[in-house]
Parts: sequence; structure tokens; C-alpha cells
Amino acid sequence: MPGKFINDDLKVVFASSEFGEADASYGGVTVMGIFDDEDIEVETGEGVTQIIPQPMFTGRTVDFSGIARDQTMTVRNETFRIKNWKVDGVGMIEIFLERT
Amino acid sequence: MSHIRTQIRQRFKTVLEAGLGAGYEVYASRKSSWNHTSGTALVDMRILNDQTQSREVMGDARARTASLYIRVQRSAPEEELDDALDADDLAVNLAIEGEDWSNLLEEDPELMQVNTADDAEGGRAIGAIVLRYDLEYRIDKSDPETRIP
Repeated sequence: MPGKFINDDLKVVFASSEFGEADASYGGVTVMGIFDDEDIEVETGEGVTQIIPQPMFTGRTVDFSGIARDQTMTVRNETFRIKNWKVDGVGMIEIFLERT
Repeated sequence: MSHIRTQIRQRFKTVLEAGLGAGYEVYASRKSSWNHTSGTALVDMRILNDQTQSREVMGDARARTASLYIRVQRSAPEEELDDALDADDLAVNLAIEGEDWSNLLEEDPELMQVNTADDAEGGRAIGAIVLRYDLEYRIDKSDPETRIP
């Protein structure tokens, strides 16, 4: 459980006035965090490297306490399916998203 | 004219373009990396294992067999990928089976093997289905541009 001071710091970092996303929600509730949609390289095993965007949301663990696979979240008016996630143990969560 | 293998690949491209229609980009060659930002499927092909099937003692006519690998690559939501690849297989099959190949090949292309590959690391799963068709054609060994009927 991260200390209150960490959650307070993350609130500042994830504020839409700083690095955060202004339009993100999970379970119908607005959440704070950073949205990335960078291109990554993947191998299909067919000999060539393919490039595809990997949407990802970095937010506060406290906002995603009930997170489960196949839930959805909305960012920038686009609905994503939650594939999997990584919790860093000190207050932050990285959520890997799938385009629906 | 061009080598008979080139003619075969070009013919398959024409047939697949007509049969698959919108939503597919078809190439008569290998096509490497691309950006999966749309729903378009990429179809490419190559010929491997081209070999003389039987040598005729008299004359230069040669029956040759080769494998044509048609690969369809696409991205799709994870749980829809296998269905989409099967649908690609079906569409390719119907296009090829609907063509009269008698003025180019000794017999209709025969689907021998199907394999799939995938990676679900990105925001959409990427998959490929590879269909191996065995082909038979006949040429004069001194003139690989011209089919012998």
C-alpha cells in the first residue's frame, strides 16, 4: 500500500494540466493517468517484423482496485478492452489495452 | 514474356484480387513488414521447392512441380483472429477453386497444408495464415517462359 504522499504526488503528475489524460474513464468513473499509443515491433513467427500501436494507460493503482481481464475503459472517446496489467507495488499501474 | 513462375504468381494475384475484393491488398511477391493500422489484410506469395518431376528421355519437355505459399496477414481483436484467418482461408480457396487453370497448369492447384502464426503483443493481435498449394506445370527445359500444353 503506497503512502498517502505517493498518491498525492501521482495526482499532481497525472493531472490533465500536467502529463495526464483529460478524458479517461474506467467503470464509468473518471480516472487520472497517462495514455500512450506508441508503435511497437512484433514478430508473428512468419519471418518479418510487423509494426502495430500498443495502447497503454499508466495510472494510480487505487483507481483500478477491481481490475479484471476483458473489462473496458474509455480514453479519448475510444473504448478499449483491458488485456493485462502490471502493478509496480508503490501506487502505479500500467494497463495494456486492446482496440475493440 | 517472363519466367513461368512469374506468370503463375501474376495469375494468382489477378485471381485473388478479383475473388477477395475490398479489404485485401494482394501482391504477386513477398511483401515484408507493414503497419497494422487499418483492417486491411495483406496477401503475398512465393514459390518454393520448384523441381522437375519426371525427365523424359526423348525431347526437352519437363513436368515440374512447385509449392506456392500464399500468406494472408491481418490484425484483429484477439478472440476474433482465428475466425478471421479461417475466413481468409475460405475466401482464398473459393477464389482459386473458381478459376479455370487449364491454360497455365497441368491440373488445378492442390491445397496441401495450412499453418498459422500470431503475436498478440500489440493493441490488436496480428496473425498470418499460410496456405501451401502444390502446382504442376510443363515447360521446355530450354524455354522456361513458355508453357507446353
